[in-house]
Amino acid sequence: MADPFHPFALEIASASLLSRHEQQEIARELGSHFYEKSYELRLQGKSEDEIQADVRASFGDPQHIAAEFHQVHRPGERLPIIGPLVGFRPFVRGFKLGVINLIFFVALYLVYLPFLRSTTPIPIWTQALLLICPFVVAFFEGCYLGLQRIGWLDTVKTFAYSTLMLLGAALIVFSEFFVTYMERSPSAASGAPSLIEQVGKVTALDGYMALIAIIYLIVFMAAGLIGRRVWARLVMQSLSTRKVEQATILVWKSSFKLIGIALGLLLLIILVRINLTRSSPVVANTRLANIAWGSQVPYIMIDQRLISPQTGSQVLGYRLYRATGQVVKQGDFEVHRVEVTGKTYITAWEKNGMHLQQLEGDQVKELLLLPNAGQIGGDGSHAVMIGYASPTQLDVTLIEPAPGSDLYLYSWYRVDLTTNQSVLHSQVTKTSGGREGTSSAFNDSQNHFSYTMQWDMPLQQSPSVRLELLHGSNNLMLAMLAFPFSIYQTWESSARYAPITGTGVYANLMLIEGYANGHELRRTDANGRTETVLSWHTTAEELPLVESIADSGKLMIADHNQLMIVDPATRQVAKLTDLPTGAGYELSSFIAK
Amino acid sequence: MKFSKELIKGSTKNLILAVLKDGEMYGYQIIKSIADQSQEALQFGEGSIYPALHEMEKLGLLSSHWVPQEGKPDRKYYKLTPEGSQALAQGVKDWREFSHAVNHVLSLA
Repeated sequence: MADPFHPFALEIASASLLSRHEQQEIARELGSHFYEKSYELRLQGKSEDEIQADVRASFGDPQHIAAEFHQVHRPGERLPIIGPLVGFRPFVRGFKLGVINLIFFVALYLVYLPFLRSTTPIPIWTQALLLICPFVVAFFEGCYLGLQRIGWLDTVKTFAYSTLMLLGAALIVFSEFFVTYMERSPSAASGAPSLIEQVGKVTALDGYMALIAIIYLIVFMAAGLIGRRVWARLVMQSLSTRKVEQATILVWKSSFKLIGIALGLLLLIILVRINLTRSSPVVANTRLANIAWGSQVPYIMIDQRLISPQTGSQVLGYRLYRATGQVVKQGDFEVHRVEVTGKTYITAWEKNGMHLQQLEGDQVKELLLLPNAGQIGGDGSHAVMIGYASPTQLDVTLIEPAPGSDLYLYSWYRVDLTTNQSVLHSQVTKTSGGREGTSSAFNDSQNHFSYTMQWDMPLQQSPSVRLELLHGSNNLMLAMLAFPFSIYQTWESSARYAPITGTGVYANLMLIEGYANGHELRRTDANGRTETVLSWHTTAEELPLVESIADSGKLMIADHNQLMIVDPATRQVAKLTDLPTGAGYELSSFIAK
Repeated sequence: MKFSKELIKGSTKNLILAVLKDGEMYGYQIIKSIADQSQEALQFGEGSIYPALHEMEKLGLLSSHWVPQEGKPDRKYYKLTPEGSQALAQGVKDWREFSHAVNHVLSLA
């Protein structure tokens, strides 16, 4: 006949929160005591119910006894270096849970990332499922700890260690340092210092994302604590009510472990298989950049460049999300925000021409169609600029490869916003032209517009996945999922351009792009191919000035109080002179005749 | 007669050392021995004796070993170490001095 007091002995021993070996020793000794006591009472002729009651009554408060055992043995003292406050066993437990959670989050990332790469909007139920999944895992982990009779403080410590492990893994995997060296990095190739020194640069954006991450992790831990209290208590009560044997309790505990591991592995296998069989195009040079938070952020723009493995051609895929996760627009388009008026426009390229649209909330309002705007080339090279000529007039500048030639077609449309009619103001076929751009600004307090029409030539867009939050409220799930990608500084895409004249019919463009740790001089030829000529490390945030030196084919660059002469053909750099710090200056050159 | 827990708790160590003076015993046997030798005057929560035994073993006052039993659970026997014997002697001395002092104060009350 089984010893009816053995579970009681086990319960007291496990409540002592000592090591497994010590608990077994205590349970063994107490079990012997209960046996002796009940044997004696049985000899006195007492019934089993009376024996049960007398044994428990004479033993004393089990919780108090367990606490006394704990006090005597004091497991924290075994590790004088770490000490009782930290505790070694929660650390080990937290590490085990951290491994399971890490596997789970990697699997989650694998299943979510393809949605970002494709143009398919994510269903709401999928978003909800992906958001809730981690909390379900935490809940059952808490239940597992509860069945182990792990104390509250140790439960919190276990989850804390698990969370720290996850954060550490996320920082390592998604740090800018890692991404930089995984991609083709001109800075890395040129030997410039890595961007890791920028990781420590905290901005308001990083602080905000960190706050969301902390809230998420707190909720994660809360789910675990709820699981520990609610589910484990229900299970144990159920077991004790039916007077289940100790072996069954052990089976329950072991089952949770095995079920958890099996589910995790099964999920991972399924998700990996799904991703392997997915037929989405190969994504080239994708990277999720920083999220630019403003005061109000309702939009998220995902800009990615996909390469079809079948044809090798590039396919542009853009998606504009509202903060609620709703897709506002997808396809080949660009979003332009005219800072002066705060209005946002979309230029969308379709087969029948270029559509000019206005973005208002969730609605995309068609303004006009420019049927003769032409289609983009196969390499996606085109540019469009929008600026206000007046409060009722919009200037749209299109720059695209001219059909049938290697030149570029500049088209300047003026749009009347009151009638939505457009007029082709001018059209020019030319080479790369000069360093120009569109701009508009308030002139005076009477809201007169001072407008300068210039040509700009951003021939190629940065081949990166850009997650750009424009303004408004936040989509928590997208923000959470983008968080790992926001902990490093983005590569600023601002640039200055300068032609290299005197080098032939097809002028090359030079541009300097500012990155988080420095600047880069790149040459772009008429076919759109780029190469890095020079890169250097600087902490200056302002882009350097660059001007071509007459017809010499060389450039002069003023950057961070140095004036340099650069020959892109030979990649020779010569410092001409130091420049005074804090002084503003302009560069120009001429040929004396 | 039941004495207060605090009063008994302070004497638990000496009581255990005293009953073990005559030879090794297991936990339940120690409890019974204390009750018998005190003529049932000293009875406390039986469970609390086991943490005390563990503490005294940690302090080196006692040593223990398991003895298999046929048809029933093994018993864990405790016995005095030389340090335990010294502690017992000191404990007896301290108790006599203490009780003498208390008796003296109470007699004046």
